[in-house]
This record gives sequence, C-alpha cells and structure tokens, in this order.
Amino acid sequence: MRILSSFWVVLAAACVLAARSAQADDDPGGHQHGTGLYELFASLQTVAHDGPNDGPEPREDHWLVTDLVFAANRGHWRVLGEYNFGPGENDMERFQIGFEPVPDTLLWFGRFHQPASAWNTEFHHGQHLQTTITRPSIELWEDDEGLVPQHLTGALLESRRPVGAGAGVQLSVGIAYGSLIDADGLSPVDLLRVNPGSHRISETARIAFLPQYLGSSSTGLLYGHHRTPVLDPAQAVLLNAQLVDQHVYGAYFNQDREPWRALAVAYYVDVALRNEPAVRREHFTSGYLQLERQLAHGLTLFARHENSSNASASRYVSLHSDDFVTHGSLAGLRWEFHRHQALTLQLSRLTTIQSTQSALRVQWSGVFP
Amino acid sequence: MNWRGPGLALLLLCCSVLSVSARGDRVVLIVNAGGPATALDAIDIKRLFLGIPVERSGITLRSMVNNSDERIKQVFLQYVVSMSETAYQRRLLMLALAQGRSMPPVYSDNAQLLAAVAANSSAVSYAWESAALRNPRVRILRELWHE
Repeated sequence: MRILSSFWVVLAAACVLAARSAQADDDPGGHQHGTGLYELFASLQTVAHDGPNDGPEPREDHWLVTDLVFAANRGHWRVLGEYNFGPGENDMERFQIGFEPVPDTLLWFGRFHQPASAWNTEFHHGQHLQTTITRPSIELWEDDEGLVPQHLTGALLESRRPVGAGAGVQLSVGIAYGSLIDADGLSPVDLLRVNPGSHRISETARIAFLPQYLGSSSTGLLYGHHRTPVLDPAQAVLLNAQLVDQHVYGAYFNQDREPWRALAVAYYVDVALRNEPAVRREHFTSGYLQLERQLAHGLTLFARHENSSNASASRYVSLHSDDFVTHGSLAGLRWEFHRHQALTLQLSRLTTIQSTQSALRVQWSGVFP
Repeated sequence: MNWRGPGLALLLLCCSVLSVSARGDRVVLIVNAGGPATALDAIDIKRLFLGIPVERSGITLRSMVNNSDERIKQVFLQYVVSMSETAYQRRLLMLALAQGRSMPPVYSDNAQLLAAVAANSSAVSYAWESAALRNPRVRILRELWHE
C-alpha cells in the first residue's frame, strides 16, 4: 500500500514537473510543444457551533485543506490529476487521461467526478471557487457521508457543440465503476490503496443548454444509476440489503450574470435495497438554491437554502448519513482581497435528520501560483 | 494684429497630433508574420483567450495576454472576453480545474510580448497598432477596438 501511494506521489510530482517544463516551452521559440499547468488550492478554516456533533468532521471543517491540480497537454492528448491532501486526507481524487479528437469533445479514461452532480462538476475540490465554505448536503463526497457516488473510474465523454448564434449544448456521459459500501461507508475505487474488487458499473449523464457557448451559465438535466454492493456485514444487516440500486434524476439552473449568480438544483433519488429476492424501495428529494451578489471592493454577499422531503423516512439516508441536512439556510460575506485570495464568513442554521445546529465559520482560501 | 497665419498653423498641428493619437488608439489582434492564422472571428478569439484550442492548418494556436498597461487590459476584458477581471480569472481557473486547460501566459512588458509573438509561429495576442506596426515579424490580423 505504501509502495502504491509513493508511486502516485512520484507520478504527480512528475506531472507537475512536466507541466512546468511545458510552460517553459511556451516561451519565445516554441512551436508545437505541449502545455501544462499546476495550481495549488489551499484553505484554512475554523468553525464554532452549538449542539452535539458526533459525526465525522466534514472535509470542509478540517483546519487545512489542500488540493493540487496538475495537467499536461500535448497535441490531442492530455493528462489531468487532482491530489487532495492535508490533515485526515490523502487521496488521488481524479486522474484522467484524455483524448480530444475535435475541439471541445473529450474522451477521458481514469477516475473522474461523475457528471450528474451540478455542484461537483463546477467546483470539483477547488475550495476557492465555491463562494460558500460548505457544500450542500446532497453534494457531499463519499468520505464525508455523501449519499451519491461522486468518484467513478472508467470512461467519460464530454462534448460541447454550438447551437444557433452563440448558444451551445453540452453532453457528458460516464460509464464507470462506482462505489461499494464497507465499514467506512461509500468507497469508490481508490487509486492509492488496494481495492477489494467488487465495484459495479455506474452510468451517469448530463445534457445542458448553454445560453452562451463560451459562457459559464447553463441549464440542464442530470441522470445517474449506481449499483452499490454492501460488503460490510453490519451495514448489510442494518440495511437488509446486499446491493443498493440507486437512480438519481436531477435538474439544475446555473445563471452567471454579473453581478448576480444563481444556482438552483433539485434531485429525486430512488433507492432499491436489494436482498434477493426481496426488494425494499424508497425515495427522497433534495435541492438547494444559492444566490450571490457581487458588491464593490471585492465583496460578495451569498445565501443558500437547502430542503428535502422524505429523507428522514429513508433507511438508506438514516443509516448512511445521520448528518444529512433535511432543511436549513446559510448566509455570509466573502472578500476577495487579492488575486485568487479570499476571506469568507459564513453563518448557518441547518436541521439534520437528528438535530438542529447553528454554526459560524471563517475561512481563508487561495490559489497558487 | 493678424492671427490667421499662426492660428491656422496651430489648428493644423492639433489635427496632426489628434490624427496620430487616433491611430495609436487602435487595439489590434496580432499573430506571428509567418504563422498559419489568416482569419479569426470573435468566438475563436474568445476561445483562445480562455485556453480552449483553436487550430489553423493543423497547428494549435496559443494566446498571450497583454497586460502592459491598464488601458489595454480594460479593452481586452471589455471587448475581447466581455467579462470583469474577477470573472475572467475565475473562468480560467474553472476550465483548468475541470479539463486541465492551460492558462494563457501574461506579459506585462509590451516589448517582451511582441518579441514572443515574433518568435512563436502559433502565437496570437493583441497590442496597440502603433507598436505592432514597428515590428515586421508581427502581422496585424484585425482591429479589436478603436476609440
């Protein structure tokens, strides 16, 4: 396991060096060399809250979160990686090898973020890019008690085509190995450690309309189908299932029109707890609306409301994520005081399926270089 | 006292100065003189400066951002990418994070930028017309903005 981990760290370092070398090739005299990049996203935060907090500390509440993104491009080929590290975290979150046969159509192989999440395909692990400090409950990563497998390992097709005068359509389809449920909860294919090898195929897709082909606004539909084997005997007994067969249907609206920004998402999650031949079906909905307004002097006001229905009645939710937010709101102020540097203050009052909690968070986030 | 002669001369001088000034106030898209790019529309230009590939004759073009003075920076943001600086930087970061798109190199010195365009056959950038005309290894492709 240690050897595997070292291998990936060395590979990441090699990619960063390749990226640096490729950047140097862009200087005068360069012709058809490759290009590359590396960006380090970092954040420091502190949180104060009332009431009990028995669950694991979510990643966003770790005092330090660091995420290294590295990429190297040559011709139609590219390599992209995202390595998340810090206290309590050490994961190769994404490692993808891509082929771009025509501009804006990419075929990726590797571990990627499933395209049926409106939040995670927008911000990935880049804490600095998401205005709020915390992410909506339904968008949480697997190791933060997330309910939907977010990291898949297999093939992903991403394409963006122009439509009419200036608009566009985006299509993403992923067919890949999803997660399994072990003693730690949802566990995707791990690139740094040994895997038990029982992962099953997931299918995910997104289709979106882009009012501006090169803009960041979009409106679309999301679909995911995940078959998640339950390997942990205790969870299998509690869930009364050997397999969690999950369908996710979603719709989202992401409008980025300065100085306003709005992101609204709704998911319907259908869960079949299979213990052949018996099947128990349950479903729940979850959604959120986030509004942001840029002000003068680099300030941005933001607010978000999350809501759900039927989540408390779901055995899958209550066993898997007892901190799942059934409803609640947060608001705050972000100050971008320098290029890629920001301070954020966030107040929240969220009701989970267990309790209601108020919290105050303060965060610095930045991107280097 | 007869003011007609000096007055006319002054007027002509002002017109001449204004004419030179007006010519200098054009921002133009420039490429390497021997490069493959012959025409780029507004969408292609925006793609380039977002780090999205644009090919001509099998060669992937490379954009270079000119931050040599505040005015040309504002012209670029307003008329080329049509975003605030914050939004542009955020968009570049998002594309880098999502697809590993490379960010265009930024030049804060005009002479270095022109030298880089002159030396790289795939380079695309923008500059004041008066500066671009002084470098024979740089070709003006189109006007981006005029006062």
